[in-house]
Amino acid sequence: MKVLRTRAERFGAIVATESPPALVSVGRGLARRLGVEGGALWEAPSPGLDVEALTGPTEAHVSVTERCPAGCTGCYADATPTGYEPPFADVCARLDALAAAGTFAVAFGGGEAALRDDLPEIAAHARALGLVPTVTTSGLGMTAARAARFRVFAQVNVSHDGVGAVYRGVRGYDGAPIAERAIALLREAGVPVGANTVLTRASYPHLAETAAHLESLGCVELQWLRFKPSGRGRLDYLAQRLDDAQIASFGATLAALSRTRRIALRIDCALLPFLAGSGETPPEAVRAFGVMGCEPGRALLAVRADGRAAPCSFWQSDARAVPDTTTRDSLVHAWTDDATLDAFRAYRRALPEPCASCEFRASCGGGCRIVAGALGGTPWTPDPECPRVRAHARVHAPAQPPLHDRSIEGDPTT
Amino acid sequence: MRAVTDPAVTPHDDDVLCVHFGRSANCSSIGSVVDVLFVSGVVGTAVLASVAVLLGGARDGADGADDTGAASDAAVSNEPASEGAARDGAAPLARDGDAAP
Repeated sequence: MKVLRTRAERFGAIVATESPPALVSVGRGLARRLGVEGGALWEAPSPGLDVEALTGPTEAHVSVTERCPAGCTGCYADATPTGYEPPFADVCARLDALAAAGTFAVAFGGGEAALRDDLPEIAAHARALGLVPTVTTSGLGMTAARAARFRVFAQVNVSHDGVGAVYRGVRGYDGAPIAERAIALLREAGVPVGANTVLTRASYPHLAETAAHLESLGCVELQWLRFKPSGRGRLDYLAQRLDDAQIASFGATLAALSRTRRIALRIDCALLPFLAGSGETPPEAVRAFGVMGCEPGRALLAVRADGRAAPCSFWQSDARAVPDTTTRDSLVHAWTDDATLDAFRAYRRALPEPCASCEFRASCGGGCRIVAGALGGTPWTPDPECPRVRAHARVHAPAQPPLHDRSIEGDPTT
Repeated sequence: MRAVTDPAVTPHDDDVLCVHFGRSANCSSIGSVVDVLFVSGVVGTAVLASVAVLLGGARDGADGADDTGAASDAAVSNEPASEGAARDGAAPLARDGDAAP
């Protein structure tokens, strides 16, 4: 088992491994045997994994452009063909800062990150800093020569929501042929390729065939993403989100596919409440295998194209004209001092019911703050689509309408 | 080494507390491999135990950066070691009924 890096934590250390790729959290004794010394971090008794914030992000989601010609109807980033694109040197400075903060991995996105001609050089800079670089792309602009330059990435994830009408139903155009061409080119170049599938009311019924199709294309893993009311995704959110029956069947659907398909399955942070509510897996297993819920300020940091730190890629801000103020110090300090990250930590620290008594609370963190904000008027309320939250609400507010009848109020994530 | 079974219990110093498999290649939201959640508790515990043993082996190697090769891949793979290696360790996990080589 190849150890790439270690990082001291209050509970011991995080060990980044390759072959297999993993982040392993270990206690102080094992950390010490691996050569880690915790210093001041280990002076107090170990808190175990229940730390409010790790010493730095484990992964960072770095937007390298706001440009994209695709025009997906539900684009969470509201990307356009003329969006802002930071200079190479600025992106590299941000990577320097993330490495200084102890970050293990960076996932590049946008906009369409893969259309930046210098993206492989940006990834090479990340590699040189000890960061593990990955990127998400729609596949636009991929050529054989470009795919070969993408060997610098540890993995490339290609967005693919289903074949033909299914893809079109999620993004407003049929980008499946473009995605599949990119998958083929990247595989021919020897790049590990994963796929991202957004779960919407229209794509959900086809998940099994989409997974089989992506497996047949040679994708090594499939990540499911909950549709979020962010960017243009707010406009059609109520029609796109999963309905009650789909949420109720989510855990069983995931378990069945996991048992029958060879492709590795992943879920995103916002889907954990649906799995938790399914009864398909115990909280101890979710905990032991590091399944993450809402992690901003604990393990996750996002960096916007304009250089500002953000809790996650879906978090919107009105201050889009703020100049790039990123410096090595500012990003490092953002992890400890940023008011929004502190608000995320404070919410996790004092979860309201029914999250406070939920056995999955330590992993889940209270569900998706983006969904809560869009539907509830403030991000600091339980995720209103979580099955446990809905059951709680039925007891305390029996008049609650089904999901498809509710409306989005205001924009509390600004 | 023991698996963590109760978040309220203070973990033992020599424990693997948790393992987050995969490369996290999505840029918009943090993701987690879930296949191992649906295997039996015995298999899940064995995976954690294997990681602890293999980490110890890594330290016994060259300055904490030893690659034990196919044996480490096999501990968490649902495929033969050679095929798993061809996939470059994309975080497949042992499942019920799959005999780890």
